[in-house]
Amino acid sequence: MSFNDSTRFEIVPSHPSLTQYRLFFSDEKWMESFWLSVKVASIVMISATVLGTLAAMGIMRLPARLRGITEAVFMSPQIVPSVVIAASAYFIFIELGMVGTVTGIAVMHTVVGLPFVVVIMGSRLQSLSPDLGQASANLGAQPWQTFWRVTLPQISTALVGSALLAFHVSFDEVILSLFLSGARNKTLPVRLWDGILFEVTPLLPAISTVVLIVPVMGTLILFLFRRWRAISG
Amino acid sequence: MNRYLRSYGAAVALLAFPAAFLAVFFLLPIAGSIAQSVGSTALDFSHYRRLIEVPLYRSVFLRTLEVALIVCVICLIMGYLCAYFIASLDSKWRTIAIGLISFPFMLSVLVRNYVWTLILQDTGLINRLLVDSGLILLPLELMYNRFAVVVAMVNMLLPYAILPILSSLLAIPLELKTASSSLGASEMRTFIRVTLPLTVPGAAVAALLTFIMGLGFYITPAMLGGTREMMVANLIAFNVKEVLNWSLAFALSTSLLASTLILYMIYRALLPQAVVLKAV
Repeated sequence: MSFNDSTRFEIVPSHPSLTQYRLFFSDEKWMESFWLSVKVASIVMISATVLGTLAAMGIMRLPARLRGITEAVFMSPQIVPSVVIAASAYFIFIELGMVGTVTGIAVMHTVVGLPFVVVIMGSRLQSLSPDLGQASANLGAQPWQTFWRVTLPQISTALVGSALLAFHVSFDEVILSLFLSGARNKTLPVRLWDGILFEVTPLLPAISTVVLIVPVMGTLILFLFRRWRAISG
Repeated sequence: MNRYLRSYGAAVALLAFPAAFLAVFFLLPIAGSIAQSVGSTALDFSHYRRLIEVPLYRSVFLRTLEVALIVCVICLIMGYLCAYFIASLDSKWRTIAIGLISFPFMLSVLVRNYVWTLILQDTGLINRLLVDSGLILLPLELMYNRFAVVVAMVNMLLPYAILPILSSLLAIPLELKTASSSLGASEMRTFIRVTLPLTVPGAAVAALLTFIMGLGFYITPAMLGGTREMMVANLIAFNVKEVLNWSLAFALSTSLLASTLILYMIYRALLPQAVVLKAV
């Protein structure tokens, strides 16, 4: 539908054209939202991956009794309905003047991105043989040396996967962004939401396609990274 | 002992930063919202009483439970059929089927709902086909009603029903079926007496998961249900953003949170059983 000139709903376009895309990429407001989303998602990609990996490594080292409950707490942002998180955060952010700020949106996206990273990194770290770490320590390596030289190379694919997933979660997030964007900083999904509910824009199908393509590109990057890892040894 | 302590210290050091982050930006705001729902100064449960007494709020609550339940039942039935079919495939096609089920997770939630509006609206796909083929004169009212919300929600939640049921189906050793049929049971009897009881934990996990998630739906009711099919999540947003009734919004969100967490605890309690089954 996005490759169509007409505003009528047609599965096979009768007037194929790229007008919608040209309009989208030349529209200042839409591009502003697009780059804001990219910016927020990039921050979330790093913060969620770092925090989530730390958490997964910590949870693994906890005694069994505490592990279950700690894991449940770190998974809870996925269970608690987004609206509940969004409304609570909005209330606090108004006091702090963080509504409509890039920091505010990125921080809350990191919260909902964390569970994904914790699950992926947790299962990858658990599958590692502890003997290698032990061997490294026996050979006199400091813990951070062991992490950098032994653990990190083994978990790199999972790390890239987590990072891309965190990017996707943020790039696609609607509900928290709707509350926290304010009038100034509208992420792409928020502007798309406004477009679907309140305005009739002929651009919607094209923008939907852009929103659909980005995560697919993420998967492609992951695939290429694994190929590259496989080739480079 | 020394090793244990060292590992414990490392765990605390590693967890300190992520835990602090989660506490400040997740647990604290939610605790704040719960506190706000019972009044900012003295304990005051009047907002909760209003949720029960005011017909509008009560009807939104009941509707949310009803929709989540309908969606859960449909997902359970369709999910069981899909899972049963996939389990009967050979391993190559099974992998492809699981890939296809997981594929929608990659797609934008917003766009998937938007596509449903394109299919269901008056000038949408279904109505266009029906009108153009001359079957009906006026477009059917497919949008802004319970039907549209349920259809789209089932679409969003079905994978969460299929996957746990599938994993419990795949965990059943093949010998059990052979044993049952060699003892003279018909295929139907084998299903009812052997397969079905063994997949109960998986089905329970599927039901709870779809129901929990269904309770919190926001985007689908807003886009496909209109004002008539408002659910709790939409009512919370409305009270926060339009009428600025914080206390009421937080009474609503605390109720939603409480029901979600209670169901989640049941879910966690059931989960090991579903996993144990896998190991059999």
